[in-house]
Amino acid sequence: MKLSDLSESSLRDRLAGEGLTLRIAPVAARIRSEVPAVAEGLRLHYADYELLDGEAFCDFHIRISPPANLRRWFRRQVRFLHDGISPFEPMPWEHAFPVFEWGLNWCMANHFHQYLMIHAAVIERADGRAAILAAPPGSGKSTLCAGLVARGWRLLSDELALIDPRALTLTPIPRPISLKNESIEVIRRFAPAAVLGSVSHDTHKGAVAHIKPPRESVRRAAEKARAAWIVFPRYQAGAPAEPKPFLKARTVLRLAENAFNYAAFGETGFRALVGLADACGCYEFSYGDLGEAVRVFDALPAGER
Amino acid sequence: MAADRYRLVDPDRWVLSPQWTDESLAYDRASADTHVLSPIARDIIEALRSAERASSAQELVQALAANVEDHDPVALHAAVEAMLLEFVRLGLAERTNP
Amino acid sequence: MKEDLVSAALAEPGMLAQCSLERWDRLIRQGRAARLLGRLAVLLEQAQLLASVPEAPRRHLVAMRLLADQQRIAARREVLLIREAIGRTGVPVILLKGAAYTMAELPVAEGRAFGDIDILVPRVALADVESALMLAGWASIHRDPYDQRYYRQWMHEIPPMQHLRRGTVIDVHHALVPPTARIAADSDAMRSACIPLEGLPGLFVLAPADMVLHSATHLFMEGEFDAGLRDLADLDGLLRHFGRDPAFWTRLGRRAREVGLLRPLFYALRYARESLHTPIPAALMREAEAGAPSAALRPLMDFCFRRALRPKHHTCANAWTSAARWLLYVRGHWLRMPLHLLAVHLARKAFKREESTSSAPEAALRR
Repeated sequence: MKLSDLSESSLRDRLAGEGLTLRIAPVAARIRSEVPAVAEGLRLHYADYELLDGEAFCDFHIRISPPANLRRWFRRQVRFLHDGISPFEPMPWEHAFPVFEWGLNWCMANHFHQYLMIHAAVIERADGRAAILAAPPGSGKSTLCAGLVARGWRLLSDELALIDPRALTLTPIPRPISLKNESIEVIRRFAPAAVLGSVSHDTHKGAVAHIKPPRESVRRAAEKARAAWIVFPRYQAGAPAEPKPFLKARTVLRLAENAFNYAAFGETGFRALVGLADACGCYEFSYGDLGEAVRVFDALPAGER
Repeated sequence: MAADRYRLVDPDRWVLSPQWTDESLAYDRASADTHVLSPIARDIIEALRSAERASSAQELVQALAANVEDHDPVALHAAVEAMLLEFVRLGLAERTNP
Repeated sequence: MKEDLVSAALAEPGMLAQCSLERWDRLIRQGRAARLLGRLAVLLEQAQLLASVPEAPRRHLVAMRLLADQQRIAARREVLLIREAIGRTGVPVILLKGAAYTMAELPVAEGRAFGDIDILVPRVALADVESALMLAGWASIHRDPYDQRYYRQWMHEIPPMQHLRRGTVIDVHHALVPPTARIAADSDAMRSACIPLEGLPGLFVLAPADMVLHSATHLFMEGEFDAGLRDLADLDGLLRHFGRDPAFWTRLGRRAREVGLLRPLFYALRYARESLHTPIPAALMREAEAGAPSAALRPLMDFCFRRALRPKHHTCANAWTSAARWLLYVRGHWLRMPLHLLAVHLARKAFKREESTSSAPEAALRR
């Protein structure tokens, strides 16, 4: 049974009651929330995800609710709780869905240490070759990811590369792609068919909207992939879309900088990143036009040694 | 006066990346730090690792000369000496008593 | 009160073979709150049960086991760097708690979640040690003058120091129990019986019986029980390991009497046996009775400890749990400070708890 099989009212009832249990491969999460924006966001973005019954084992127990303090009387807020623990400060009520997304990222980054986790988008070309797009926020990583996904690349993740430190395979965790500020309009024009959720204005990241992940990417969430390219993208107005080979040693250091748990892996982490960089084509990539960038990616040569 | 001889403090302390075209990497098991190695630094480490006994700068220059086309022997010698001093400072290599 | 699955699993790993997924769900959450998932993974592996754990919960056990393994490697590395930094002063360093278990390669270190490194140095050498550490890149975390004064006056350690580059934290102790504590323990006797670590000149650990007594004192005479069950599991692991030598039990009772730590030993044995089924000879249980609190106090202590020594998770708490934790918190301070200062300090602590520190999701994510 999929989430889309639930009526709007029974979705709300479950969220407000014993919780909604979803398989968001590779994890299962139980979500409780009386906040309407959470129900709306889940209904739109997670429509194709499998519903699990209330007895299922859950990796994460998530609650999005108003904080229990006086503030709620004059400024409504929500807070994210993972199994009773609140990792960040309450945020405005209107941002409840982005708060859910950020919170789920936090859950992954703090508990799934069987993977080496890098802050990166991962997408796979039709020929089965995957690219890791690693970059700090604001560099146009998600825009590029959304553009490629709109042109048929499989979405593995917009935020988290889950790397098996020994096999070096990439485990998908397809979830909504988060767009910020100008990117929202760029994608609306570039991919009118993409399903965009409502825009949350004035978050700490500016305006934020999410794109629904393609059904096909969600369906194939159990299929691991292999990286052929490691790319450090950077949006730069007017810049030609140009992949510049980047030194492998520097690639390893940049990936380590963008990793959540590199230090926790010690030597194993070093060997994993060295192995990845060694097997992949490594590039710095600046682009000014999304269409041109997508064409370059479609033509990227297979990873070289 | 005998020339100073050098050897790695603990050859097992380092995990090396493949020898990529330009820079390569060394992971220090003792500190968990990752260092970027220039090609010459990398060659010296490899030479010190494979040498059966502590090496002098001159021996290292000879070992390295094969890898460097068109080298200026004086400049290479100076570069090797400077690199060895740096290794000693980092605690990577040590001088042995001749 | 609802079931404490973690204690049940530590006591009898075999019970997990029949565990439903719904119970596994609770067990993983409780184990996470208690910081015992890595340890549980090790015990399951030793009982050859890990492979038969359903995949979904097993992933969490394995992930925390991996993390614990890496923390152990990192802790080892850190201890060697600390030795290098302090080595120049010639001051002998006694490792305590997790660092000691790791460097002495005790089985209890396997899978154990790691926090800070604890070391013990002579009080007279404190200034030298502190400046040697500062020279090597450690700096005090607490900048607040009140905290600084509190630590220096009432604690048996100086304020924690953090390495500026690696971010690792070291707690430097100068006594095994707070100097003003209402229990008078003979720290010097324990200190002078310490054992050198083979192949690691300059590093020492406490002798087995003293290691147990220190662990018990740390757990039962202080006020923080957030990791209470983890510390009880340490005691269980130490007792099971050292107890393979029958002479150890006799030494333990005698030593507790000698150094004046029969009270914490009584608590340790009582609750380790009760919650974790630690095998303890009846003779020692009787001997430790001499350290028991008065008959009037005993029900209250049982009430508090039985609640505080559970995982800090709502699935194994009831309405009284937080009251019990609060009583123990106040007691921990009472054992340490004169009463009039205690009131001021607790008021200040309560006030400080209200001030929350702000953090954006990214900051939390990157921690």
